[in-house]
Amino acid sequence: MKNLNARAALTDKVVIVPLLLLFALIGSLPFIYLVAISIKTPVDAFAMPPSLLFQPTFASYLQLLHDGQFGQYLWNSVVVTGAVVLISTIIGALGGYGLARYGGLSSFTLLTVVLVLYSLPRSAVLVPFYQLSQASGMYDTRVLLILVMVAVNQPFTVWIFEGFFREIPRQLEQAAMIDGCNRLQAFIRVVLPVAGPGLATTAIFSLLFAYNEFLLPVILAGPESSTMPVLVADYAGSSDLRHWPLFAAAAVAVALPLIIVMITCQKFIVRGLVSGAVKG
Amino acid sequence: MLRDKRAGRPRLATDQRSRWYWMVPLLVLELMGCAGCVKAPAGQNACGLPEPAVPTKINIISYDSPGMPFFGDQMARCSYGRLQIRHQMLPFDALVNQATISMSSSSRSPYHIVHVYDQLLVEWAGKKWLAPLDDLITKYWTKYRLYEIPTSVWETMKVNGHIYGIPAIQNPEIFVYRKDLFAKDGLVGPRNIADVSRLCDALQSKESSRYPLVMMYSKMSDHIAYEFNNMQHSLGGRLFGKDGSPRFNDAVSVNALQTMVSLFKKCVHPNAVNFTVEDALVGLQQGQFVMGVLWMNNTPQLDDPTASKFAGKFGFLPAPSACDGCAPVGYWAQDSWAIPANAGVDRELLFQVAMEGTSAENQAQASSLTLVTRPRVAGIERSPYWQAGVASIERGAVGFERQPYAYLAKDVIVRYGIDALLGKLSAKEALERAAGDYWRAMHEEDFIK
Amino acid sequence: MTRKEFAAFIAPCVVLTATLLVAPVIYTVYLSFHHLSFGGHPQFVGWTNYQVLLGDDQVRGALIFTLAFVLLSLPVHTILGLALALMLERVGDRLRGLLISAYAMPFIVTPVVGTLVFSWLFKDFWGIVPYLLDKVNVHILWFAQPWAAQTMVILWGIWWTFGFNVMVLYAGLQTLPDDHVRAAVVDGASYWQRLRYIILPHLMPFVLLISLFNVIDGFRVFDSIWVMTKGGPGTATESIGYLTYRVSFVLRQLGKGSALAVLSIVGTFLLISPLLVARFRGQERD
Repeated sequence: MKNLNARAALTDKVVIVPLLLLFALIGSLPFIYLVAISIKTPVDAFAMPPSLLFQPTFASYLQLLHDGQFGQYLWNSVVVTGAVVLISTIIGALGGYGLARYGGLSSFTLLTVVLVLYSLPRSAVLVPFYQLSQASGMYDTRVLLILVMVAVNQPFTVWIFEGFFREIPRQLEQAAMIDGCNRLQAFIRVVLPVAGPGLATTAIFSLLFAYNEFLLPVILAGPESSTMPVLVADYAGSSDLRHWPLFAAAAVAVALPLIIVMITCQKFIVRGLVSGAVKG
Repeated sequence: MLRDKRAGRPRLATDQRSRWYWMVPLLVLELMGCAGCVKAPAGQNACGLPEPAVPTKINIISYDSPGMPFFGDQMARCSYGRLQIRHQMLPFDALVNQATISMSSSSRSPYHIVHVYDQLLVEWAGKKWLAPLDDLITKYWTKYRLYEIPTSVWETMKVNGHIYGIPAIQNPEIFVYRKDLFAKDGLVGPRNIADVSRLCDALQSKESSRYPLVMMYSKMSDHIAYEFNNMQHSLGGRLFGKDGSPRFNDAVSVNALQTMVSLFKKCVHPNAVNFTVEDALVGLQQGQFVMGVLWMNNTPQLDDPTASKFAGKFGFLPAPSACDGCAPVGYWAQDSWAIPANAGVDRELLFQVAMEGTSAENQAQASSLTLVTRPRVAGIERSPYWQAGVASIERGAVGFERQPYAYLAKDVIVRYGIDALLGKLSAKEALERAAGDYWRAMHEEDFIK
Repeated sequence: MTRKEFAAFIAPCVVLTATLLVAPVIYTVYLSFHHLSFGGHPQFVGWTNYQVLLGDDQVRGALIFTLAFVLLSLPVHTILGLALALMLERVGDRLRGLLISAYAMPFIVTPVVGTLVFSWLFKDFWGIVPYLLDKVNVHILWFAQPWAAQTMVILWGIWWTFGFNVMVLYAGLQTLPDDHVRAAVVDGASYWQRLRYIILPHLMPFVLLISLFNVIDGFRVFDSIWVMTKGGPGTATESIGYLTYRVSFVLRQLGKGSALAVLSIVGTFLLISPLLVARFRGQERD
């Protein structure tokens, strides 16, 4: 037995760990590339074989700080993402709870509806969304962007929550309601605290979506409310290679907060995915 | 002097502020700080524009093309009191889609001054999405010294006899080559496509470079359609008949496409069918390509040691022609400012704002970045690229044909032109099919009743 | 829960979804029966758009490529995700955390940017992939040969998705009841037997679910193609999603574009119907 364990440990070290690391490298290769471009001069950045000896420069990061637009777009991103996460989770939790407790709709039907809405090509909704923004007079406001993103994200969120709440025994809130809570109070005080991992998972997926969404802000937001991906894409659109370190620096700066969130929260995500809807 | 357009962004008091805030290490605090730095500075009326009676917001959009974003930023500096001017940059495709959606909509366009290049100007003016500017140009002819812009440039702003754009930048295609290698091998710059082909032979043997030439025969940005149009124009062909019927499948056109295919097969890197401009530039800057035809505005970076391994070793010439004495096989593009017909803001005010940003003084500042439309301040003598560009224009370079339905032809020429380069179709077959598809689309889209 | 309470709980999300999601879907269906260019008025044309599209070579080509993209990448990133998830169980907590984050990188970095940079890896002269292949004397023109460009897009699809699969499947592994595994070990089952008879059946619902989303995502792939190849060389990498965009925005044929969007929803459901049926059966059994 001991011998067997030792052999397993050896396989782990020689085969499994390197393989895992290889795919970690493949996954993050473009990001590493971006970091490299952001601190190299273009003449080094595009040399192949890659130049390993180079004078790193942080000029592009400094330049970003001077670019008034960067701060404004980042602020828009933070406000919009924050609001989308908050509203999505609140509305999604309410809706998911309602569906889980009121027997009318099976989980499967819900999934089918979610998938229909999910499979609509994005390019088909751009024109209706624009016309809506004009009709409502809310074009180029963060409020509109938030509403639309919450809506687009909604089916997914509701469906995840529905799965979570279905697993939480009804007795829990029934006890609370006997003690004099109304349905909403029981939901907030008793059910929600148990649904922590579910909240975390949906919040993080909403965050990823809202923070990275590109097409919606391009169409619905102007100079007032555009978010970071629009600016980064604009930087990337330059055919002057001398601007690319700036583009790379912006892309790195935008991704960093999410990477930190991911490293700190991946445990919650995994725990959240374990229970609930995903399991089926 | 401006090094590039980002360095050329206006330095306002806000920069000082944002710099200070960014020193604070906490991300959250930075964000809070920058929320404050977006307010328009309350200062003097820098442009002397009349302050509107009611609060007025003006939005300008541009895409990244040297010089234009600088002018846009300069316009934004005219903000004063109730007049609030904002400039936003978008990726090119996003700008086109966004402007198309907003100008075609029955509601007011949220954008008031839009950066267009010649093809967009023609198409959008043809659809009556742009406001004609003739009266304003006459009125402000002397105030903004519009007479300094050559008549030939004004002509390119005309659609159906009316002027729809304020010309700011000219961007012709030019021929670039490695002076050092040419000198070493005793080669001289080409005058025509046959010369280019001979240069290929020489470079392939002497420099053992399999693909010395880079041509933008690419699907990206519809570039192959432009190059086809250039070649065909140089050979004396036309894309359309008087009634909009296709002429890009006639003998001249087949010859043009055939010439491109031969050149491509002989010495252009096969990946060029999907090259972006960056691919061509990196190849030249890293020494993989020896020569090529490029947009003039992209060429200054070839001479910049931070971007190019061969700074100072590039030579610039007007684009070669298809035959002796005919026009260069190179596109002449113009970037200009247009005002949407549904802008909903006083057209005269918008015109003034656009002109303040594109004034002779600002153009003089931008003349280190690009070829501006006022020859007096264009700084042509300073840079070899501008000289080559001007020569391309003088020798008769043109843009894509200026019919409102030209975009339909562009689409099919890209599609089947690439098929010809890939060897899937002969030049003749490719153009026959393109013409057939185009003619069907003309009917579907009601250009032919 | 009373009907009234139910209504109150779901009202906010129903209102939002109805105005901002269902309405555009209905509008798209409406437009698909009309001829409309930007700035024009919709003219009713009946089934014409659908007839034209169903007979169109470009649609057929795009459909074939899209199906190839979905069907070739799906098994690869599912198996890859599964393998990595199983291997993750063998490493320490801290390393695992970092690895999972690295696998998630493709969808953390702003997608338009990540995709763009992914395509740079394949650029001749300045990308690492041709450089490395050149060392072993393999020369592939990633942007000029149709099959190579298609392969690149499929590789992108795998790269883009595998991290998500790892996360879900690793989470799935955590729900495996310990006693089942222990019982099997006591019975002397080898690792492969455990995998075959206990672990895989347990993971099936998870695999089904990620496949559902992956098939839909794959079928409507658009932005990444727009960023990497613009559908080229020629039309080799034009997907249905990209074609929908091109018809609507480049050719300005909104009616036809809408019809294509409707067709692609129908196509998606044809494609996922076996998966849906399987999931439905699975739930019935529970």
